[in-house]
Amino acid sequence: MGRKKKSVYKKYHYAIIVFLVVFSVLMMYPMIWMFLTSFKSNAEIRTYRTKFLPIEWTVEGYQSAFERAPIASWFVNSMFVTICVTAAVILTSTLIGFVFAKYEFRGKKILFVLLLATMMVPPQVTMIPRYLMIQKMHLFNTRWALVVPGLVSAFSIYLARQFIADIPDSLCEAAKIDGAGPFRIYWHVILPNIRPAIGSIGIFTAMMHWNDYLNPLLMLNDMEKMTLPLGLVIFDNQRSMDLSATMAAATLIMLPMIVIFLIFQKQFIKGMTMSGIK
Amino acid sequence: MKRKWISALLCASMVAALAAGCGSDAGSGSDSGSGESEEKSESSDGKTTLTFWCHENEPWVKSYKEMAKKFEDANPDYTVEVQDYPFNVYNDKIQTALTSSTAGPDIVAVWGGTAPSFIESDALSEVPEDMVKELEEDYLAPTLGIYQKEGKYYGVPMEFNLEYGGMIVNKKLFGDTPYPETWEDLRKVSKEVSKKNGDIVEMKGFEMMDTDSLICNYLAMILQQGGQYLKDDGSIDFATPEGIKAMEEVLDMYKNGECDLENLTAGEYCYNDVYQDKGYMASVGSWAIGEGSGSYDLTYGEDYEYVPVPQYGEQMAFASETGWGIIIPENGANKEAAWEFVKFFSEPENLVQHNIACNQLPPRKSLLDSEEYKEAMPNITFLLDILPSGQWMGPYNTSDMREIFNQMFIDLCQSDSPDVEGALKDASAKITEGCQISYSMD
Amino acid sequence: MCSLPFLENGMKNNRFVAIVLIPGFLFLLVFVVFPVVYGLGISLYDYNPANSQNPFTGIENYKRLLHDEVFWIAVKNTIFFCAAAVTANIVITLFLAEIISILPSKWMKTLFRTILFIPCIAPMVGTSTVWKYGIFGTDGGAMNRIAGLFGAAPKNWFLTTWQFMILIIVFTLWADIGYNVVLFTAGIEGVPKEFEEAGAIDGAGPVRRFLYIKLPLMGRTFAFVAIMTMANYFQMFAQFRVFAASGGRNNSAMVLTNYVYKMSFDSFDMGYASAVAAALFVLVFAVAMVQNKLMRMDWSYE
Repeated sequence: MGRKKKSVYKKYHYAIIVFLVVFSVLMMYPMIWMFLTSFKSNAEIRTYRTKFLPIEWTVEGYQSAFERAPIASWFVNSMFVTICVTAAVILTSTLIGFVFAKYEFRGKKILFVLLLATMMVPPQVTMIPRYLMIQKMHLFNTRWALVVPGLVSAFSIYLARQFIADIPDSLCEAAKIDGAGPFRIYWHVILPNIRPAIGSIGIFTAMMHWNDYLNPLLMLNDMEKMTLPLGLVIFDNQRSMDLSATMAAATLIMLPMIVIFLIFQKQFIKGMTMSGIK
Repeated sequence: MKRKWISALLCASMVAALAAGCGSDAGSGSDSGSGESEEKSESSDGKTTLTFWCHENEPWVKSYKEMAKKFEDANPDYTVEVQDYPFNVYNDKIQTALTSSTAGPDIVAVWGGTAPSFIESDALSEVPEDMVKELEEDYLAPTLGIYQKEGKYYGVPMEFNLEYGGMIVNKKLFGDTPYPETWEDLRKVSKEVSKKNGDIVEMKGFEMMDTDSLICNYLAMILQQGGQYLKDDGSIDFATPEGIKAMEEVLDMYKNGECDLENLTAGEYCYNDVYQDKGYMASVGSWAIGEGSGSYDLTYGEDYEYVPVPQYGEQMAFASETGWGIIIPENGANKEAAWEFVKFFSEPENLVQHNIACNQLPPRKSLLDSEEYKEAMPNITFLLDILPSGQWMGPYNTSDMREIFNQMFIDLCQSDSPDVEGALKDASAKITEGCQISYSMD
Repeated sequence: MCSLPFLENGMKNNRFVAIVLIPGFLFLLVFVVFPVVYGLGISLYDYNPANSQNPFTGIENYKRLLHDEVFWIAVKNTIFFCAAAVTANIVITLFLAEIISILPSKWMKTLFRTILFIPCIAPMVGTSTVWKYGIFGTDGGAMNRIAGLFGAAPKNWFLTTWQFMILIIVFTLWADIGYNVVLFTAGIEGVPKEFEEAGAIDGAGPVRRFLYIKLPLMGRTFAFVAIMTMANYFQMFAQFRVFAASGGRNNSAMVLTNYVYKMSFDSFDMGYASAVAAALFVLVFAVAMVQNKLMRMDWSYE
């Protein structure tokens, strides 16, 4: 098949490759600029505006970033929130998805439509009430303020349902005849069969919470309790003349995720893809 | 199906409206949970802990901590815990503390420009009578303005905030040339040295176009001509002959390429340009002196200096907004002790040390000729002489006021044939309508 | 909304269903449905949580909306931003996905997809901060430097109006196209090659083959991407906050999400902010309805 395909498009190959290379360089430029700037001193940034590479590589920016901001605690906070929420979402969405895919009950349709409808609500619509509610629940300015509201995700339920629906009913029936209860079916039949879906939901949820800015902005006040994205903005506002340190902080914040992505690149792309075709 | 949905939503929203209504009347007040905050006030060793909130600023926090230490030494029954927060979240932080009953502070340092939103809610404790007398007799008018509500006081000033009167000059760039002493000189130097390239002025002459300085310099220019922008009814009118003349002068600086708008759009301060050898002079409050040695490793007297801005008009006059002060939340568990602390803080011999430590100007008349202050701050004593010529900026939320004013200014700069009078009229109306604080002073 | 034939059959166990669904839906009720309704409630008050009195004002906040110039600018900007950015996103990502899918080798496909995807991994506040200085910056930003190569004087982009909005759209596309490229490549690869071959034999050029053969065959992916991207772009907030927290020159970059935030947490005018939020909700809901009609999206398609 590949051979045939080539015959249709061969004449375009070089043009396409050249175009994509140029385009990729443009796409990468901001990140590379950030990375290089973080290794320049502020004096160098000011004096040699047009130089791309650092004349003298220095980690001053990183030193100043670490001195002036609790980056390590931001990192821990981000990790904590992301891991808690992702684990919870995987559990809740597969369970609820299982029920919607394999069980029959009254009001199923309307509940499913309701579920889909909640996906459409922009978080800014509910942010004032959520802010007030979190205060009343005494979760304000704690990490739980970010964890608790994220435990159930409509989108993930929808995804899980789509995957679980693909599992043949006969498998469930067989387990049922063997005397398995619903939790056993869930554990031994459903979960092992939807590993890719779990990966997909996990990646999606983790990325969303790792990168979230609005909720931390609303719910956190203390420097120490902030997550990485919020911390960066605060840092930038406070020390905007210190571009070297700001870019160092930005690099530190983005690097872990990018490295993880490059390592698990295949799984990431696969997971993302599945969220779309399911 | 769809219709059912819509009607269900409507019903639900009505129910919720009722629910929210009940909730908001009962639950939102500051009174709801003072019981809880009482628990935390006694620490294990029987001492009462007072929590003091301030924003993050190294020398300031250090000075607050020293003051707390001194207070503890004088009052062994108390410990004062100083907690600092980044400035960008600081106001939200105060707001939520006043709103909710948990983890509230006992004493809060607050910026006068943002204080109105706290004062207009009734979440603050009133200044005790014995202090009121001191406030009225010994404090300069601009420092008090915003803290007055219906004849009562809700805050005590810590400093005189002055964004007019002094400028950072780049000594290296000036070389042997003397600093300008008249306004004409200043403009002449400024025109000669500045170099423009597109929207960037690569070498700036005299700069004042940032959020803080622009309006302060402009208002001073009006007042120094004998004009006035505050009308008797409290409304604002920039479109007077003096106001128009001053605005044309400022616009002229921009059109001449003596300075650019980058600091306004990026939210930066002009003095940074001077420290970076990209400008000759920048108008700024005395607090920026420390930045030169702190952030830029420059030496005062060698690389830069702080000198008076030449007067624009006949008489010395300027307007100033209320600076940093202290408020006490009504829901605090230790209000009396908190006020004791404020009293201690405000005693001239203590206050002067705080002002020195933070590069601030003293708010009290009795400190204007303090030898201690003059000795410690030789570079800014010239400002002490002009303090009595200042008037309060007016009963306005000054951050909102600045936003409107700066927008208008940017528009004027970007327009090829600016209608100065029309723009000033518009801005005056907008500010009068939108930024006036909701309570009256008396 | 749509027909849901798949929900017709399955096992029965009401106890299990209840054990799973009741907490789950209770949760959604508390954190999604109730806040919507609570917000509508607040919008009828002059509400500031620090005040002890929050008077009921009825539809006063909504009346104020009608006369609020900034609100209407924000509505206009939001619609413009979503329409322009979503359209551009879909056109660009379809194009990129198509040319990536015809690359001769697998590693090339992976390489380019990976590069395009990297910006999606990074938090948008982070990348916007980088762009603020590195790309848009007046003194030393890439745009002014490139313009400088052609002899143009540096421009302060933060002073511009509609141009600035376009720049924010460009940034958003940069930050977000990777995701859709991945989805579309998968969609295109799912189209059986025989169809294309047939088209080629009939003498259709690559563009025609793409538009008339492939695109209709990947309708499901297309609908998913369109709806999700639209929903996502209505919620965009971080970059507006970083580039123009107070709305930019003459509010030219003020969008509803930022306006709600500004009103509620900069001015603490939460009653009015809730009215703005309600308007945003109506807008999003209306667009979703229209989209649903247009796409005839069948969520149950397997």
